[in-house]
Amino acid sequence: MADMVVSQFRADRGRFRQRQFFSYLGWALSTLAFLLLGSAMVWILATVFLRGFDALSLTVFTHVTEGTGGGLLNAIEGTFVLAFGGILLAIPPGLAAGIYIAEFDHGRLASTIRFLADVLVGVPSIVIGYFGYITMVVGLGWKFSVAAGSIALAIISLPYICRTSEIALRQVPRAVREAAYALGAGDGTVTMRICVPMALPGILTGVLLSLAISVGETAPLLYTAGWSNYLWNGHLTNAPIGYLTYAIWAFINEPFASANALAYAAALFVTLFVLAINVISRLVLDENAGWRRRARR
Amino acid sequence: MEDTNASAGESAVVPLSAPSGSSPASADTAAATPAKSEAAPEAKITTRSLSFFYGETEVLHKIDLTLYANRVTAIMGPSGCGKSTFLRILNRIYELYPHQRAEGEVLLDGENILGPGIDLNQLRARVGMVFQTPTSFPMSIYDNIAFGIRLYQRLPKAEMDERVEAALQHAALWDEVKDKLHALGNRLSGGQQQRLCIARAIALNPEVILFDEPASALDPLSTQKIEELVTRLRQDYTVVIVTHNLQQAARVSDYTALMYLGELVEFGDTETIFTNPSKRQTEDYITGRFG
Repeated sequence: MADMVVSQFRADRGRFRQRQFFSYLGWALSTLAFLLLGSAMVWILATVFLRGFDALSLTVFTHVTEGTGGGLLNAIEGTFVLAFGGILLAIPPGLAAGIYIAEFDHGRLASTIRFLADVLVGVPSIVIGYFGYITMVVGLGWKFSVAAGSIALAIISLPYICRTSEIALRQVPRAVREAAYALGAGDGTVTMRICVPMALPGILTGVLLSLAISVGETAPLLYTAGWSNYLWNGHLTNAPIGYLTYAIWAFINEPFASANALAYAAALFVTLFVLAINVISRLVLDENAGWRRRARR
Repeated sequence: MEDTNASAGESAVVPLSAPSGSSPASADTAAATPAKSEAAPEAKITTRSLSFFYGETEVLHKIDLTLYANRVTAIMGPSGCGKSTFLRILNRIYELYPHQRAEGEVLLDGENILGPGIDLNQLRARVGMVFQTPTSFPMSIYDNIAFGIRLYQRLPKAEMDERVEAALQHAALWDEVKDKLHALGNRLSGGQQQRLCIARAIALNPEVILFDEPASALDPLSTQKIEELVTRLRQDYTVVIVTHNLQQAARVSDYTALMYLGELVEFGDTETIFTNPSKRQTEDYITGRFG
């Protein structure tokens, strides 16, 4: 028996060499791909960080934009206002839709919602911007405004929150759900007291992901929020507002060094925001985080 | 693992503070062994030509079976024989899924629970269920127990504390968790979580408790504790336990039903089934020739 195995092994030496060759080839191609992508990322980050830090000064944080110079206080404020406004508007319908298609999926409506959400993810953001321009900025007469900008961002966030909520809810074990029903709990109690708390880390990850997307969006805001050199006056309509991605988009092509510096500073802020949000969502999803820690009182 | 069997002993049994007079009186019997010297058993649940369908497929064929009050009935059989399906009819949990349907009658104290006008929540308060895998809820140990009670009653805190303690005592878990009632339920070991689930079911003062292979995911020591508990619960409840473990059925049950391919093969008291079965199929199963 042992002899046979050994002789077979010798006979298949060629096959062994072949496998070894493809193994090395696989490693080589993977390394090459990693170096290509990795160097591109390092290049981008290095440019943003080096030039961004060069452009930083106290003025950037304390002053509003003045023509092609000044600071970015108005844009930092505007980015926060628009992104959080968008998220707050997107969470209720997004979560509700996610709960509906995950928990009460008995008909064709759920698959329709799922399909539409996936289509909405694929719609170019500038189309959503233009939609907002026609319906809200012009149609409702809101002009460039916080309201129109936040709603445009909410439309972009909606499918992400809906689908990540659905996926998170689907991962709640069937037996836990059944156990709650077996005690005589109703649909609402099971969903809100059992399923949503257990799915919370996943739901939060979706919210943070769409927050990161909102912070980085430009095109939909160009058509809806406009741009302002001043701080937000607190009005929801008829008042344009500044935001960081506009500063990048508009100032990078200006022939003035001061404008270019602001663009790089804005790029640095956006990158840092997105990075921070991603790190936070990793922490949220980390094992033992989420509801386990939250419920400890 | 955490304690000796002593804490699981009879000293831990505390009668539940029943809110109504409906719960059976907790006999303070010391012996936890299934001595068969009690009065003749009463029928608690009777099924009459009970069939069950997944869509068009009939998986249970006209089952007639009686489950006796204050007795443990084991339902055994090979995988896919319909034993879990049978259990899931008794609290109508199958209704969560469309295309699942039961036909025939299930009489609980003479009332057909498959009939119209049955309040599902009330039914599930009377017929509790413990699942194969531990199903602790995303909340504290205390709230895991209180969750079910709060569905039916609004109690002042002191009274709720008592109910929670009584349930945990009854499930032989109190001594292990009394210092960490506000820690999360899923911090407990698998065996402890399973006893937590039993305590949660007991807390509602049900009349019947259904166990769906409650120990199949547990280590031998935890299994032993669950089995002791099941044996002890018969004093107060009608217990039905589904198992594919022959020894377990022999150890914990007063009556045994054997199912095969959706049919009830044989039903009788456990001793007879295991020592002197009347059907050839039962004998083959007991001796390991199929299943």
